[in-house]
Amino acid sequence: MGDGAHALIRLLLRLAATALVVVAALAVPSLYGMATADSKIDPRLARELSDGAYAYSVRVDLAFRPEYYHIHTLQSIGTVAGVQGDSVRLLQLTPDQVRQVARLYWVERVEPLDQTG
Amino acid sequence: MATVRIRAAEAGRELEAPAGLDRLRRALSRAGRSLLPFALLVAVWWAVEVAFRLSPTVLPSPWQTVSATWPLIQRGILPDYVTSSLTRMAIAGLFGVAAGVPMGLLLGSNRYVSVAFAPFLNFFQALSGIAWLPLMLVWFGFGEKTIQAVILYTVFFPVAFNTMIGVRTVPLHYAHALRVLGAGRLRLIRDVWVPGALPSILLGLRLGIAYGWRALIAGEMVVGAGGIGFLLFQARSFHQTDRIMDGMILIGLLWLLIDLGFLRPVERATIERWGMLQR
Amino acid sequence: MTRARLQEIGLGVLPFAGLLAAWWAITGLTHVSMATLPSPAAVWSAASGLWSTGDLQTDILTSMGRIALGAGVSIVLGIGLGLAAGLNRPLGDLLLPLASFFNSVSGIAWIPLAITWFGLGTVAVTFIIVNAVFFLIFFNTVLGVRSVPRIMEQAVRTLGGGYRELILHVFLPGALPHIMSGIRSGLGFGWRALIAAELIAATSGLGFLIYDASNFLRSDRILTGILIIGAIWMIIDNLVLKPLERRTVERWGTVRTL
Repeated sequence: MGDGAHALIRLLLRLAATALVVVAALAVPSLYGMATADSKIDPRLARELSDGAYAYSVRVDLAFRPEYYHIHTLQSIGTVAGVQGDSVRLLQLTPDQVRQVARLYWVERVEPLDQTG
Repeated sequence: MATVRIRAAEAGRELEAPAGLDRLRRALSRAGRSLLPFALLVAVWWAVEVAFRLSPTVLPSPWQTVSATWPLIQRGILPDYVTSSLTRMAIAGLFGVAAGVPMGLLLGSNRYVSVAFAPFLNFFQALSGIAWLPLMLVWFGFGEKTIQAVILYTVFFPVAFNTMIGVRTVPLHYAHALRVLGAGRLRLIRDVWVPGALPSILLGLRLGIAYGWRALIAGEMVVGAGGIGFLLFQARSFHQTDRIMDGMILIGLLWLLIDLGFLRPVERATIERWGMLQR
Repeated sequence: MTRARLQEIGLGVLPFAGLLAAWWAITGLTHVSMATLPSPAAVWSAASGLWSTGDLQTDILTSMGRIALGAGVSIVLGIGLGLAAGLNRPLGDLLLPLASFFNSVSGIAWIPLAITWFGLGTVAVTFIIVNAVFFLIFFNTVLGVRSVPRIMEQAVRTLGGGYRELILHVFLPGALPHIMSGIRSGLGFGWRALIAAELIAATSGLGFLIYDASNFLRSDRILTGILIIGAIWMIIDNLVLKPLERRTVERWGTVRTL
């Protein structure tokens, strides 16, 4: 019986190890995104964020033409107001949502949106 | 018996240790031999593409297909969709097995109950989960719940049915013998029904996961809430055939991961531990 | 013997009756909408409505025709190529890894490419079915041929048998149990692939019937389709495939133990 319990534990450990490797491999991109998030937010915007104002409109720069996936993902965070070339305009974000956008690893830069422009 | 086995293992290790380089060479040649067919397939694919001058929307070249992978990764699409597909499969697999095995044991432990439920479970096992997809769409809409419900159904029934059948094939006198010796129901489950039914449970597990994986791909194509199936289907709407090919290769590779990483180890461990019991 | 069988059938009906009663009670006693859960009577009238217009028969025949076509092509190609690859070891070694990879890709993953290549319809659906069924039959045929003991082959050769005799009297019968189990499990996947393919890549057939019905929230039609899909597969599996497999193993299965 002890032998059986032993074999079972060994099997479970093995499966857990495989699962862990898969999870780790899939987590690499988002970890990279989290690590680089702060450097992607425009300094002026970052200062405003820490001041604690509430709603922000931002321009999210990507390194490519946004596809359905990117619009859809950004839409799930805030309101997408339009796409211009490689950037997407997002309206009415809370500071947390701005950081959330910056954590997406395929986002290059988050800049404040000039309401006049 | 045990000591003999240990000594044999030690002897084997001594024999192999100095031949480490040789073993490496053998492993490399084995890898080469199993890669050769795929190299040939790529060559044929390339030849067809060149010979018939097919447009990339009909058949992209192998190189186009490979180079379509990087943007998919760089733009965040692939990691996200692979994560959602594997998460869905893991959740449905775990819950399907966690519910199916006990249900099968419960129904199988009584002769009349198991006779009564055999055609019932068999019917729902045979009825593919994907057929429920339209009804689930009506119930839960185009979203996560629909996909989850369909794969969970698809995994659960083969597991439950085969577990029940497995329990039924365990000769009754094993259970009688243990009962005479004063064993309780828990003891019976642990020492008679589970080990006796294991080969059948494993068959159900393999069928359930294999059917479930296919139902997942089909479900994702229809529902449109992310996942590899959705990646393929969307690539089709935009005539990105290179992405379709990438998705298909990925589906094959991910199944190999599920098979070699999870199903096979379970089966191998079972054969090692319980294989003797079968004879 | 017959009494036991009768008892088995009687017991087997009970859970179905229980489910039907529960279904009836839920739809009768609570106010679930028709779209969520139509009553058994509503499903029955939807079924007879579809039957009287002839739509149901057409869809059933379409789906059965497609599975028959897909299975036929897969069986002929699978056994033919499987025999060739089983008899020629280098060829077999070359093709087996490919077959097992394509088996992992699974027929369903071919749906988008099939639509791109063939458009919506029977060709695409059949192509998808063949991709779900062929590789499994091929794989099992190769394994079956390889499982035939060499002595058998040598015996026939000693007696002056040629390639024809070898294939017809040694390898094919020797591999039959494997081939049959390949066909049965292959068709299990093929039937599922058919339904999925018809949901997405067709404008007729049982899969399309239920998908189309869901667009109009016609749950009564969906349930009609589901029950028919289940019933047809039970009939194919229990009345055709299982007996065939059993008979093959009884007739030819001993070859393996020799």
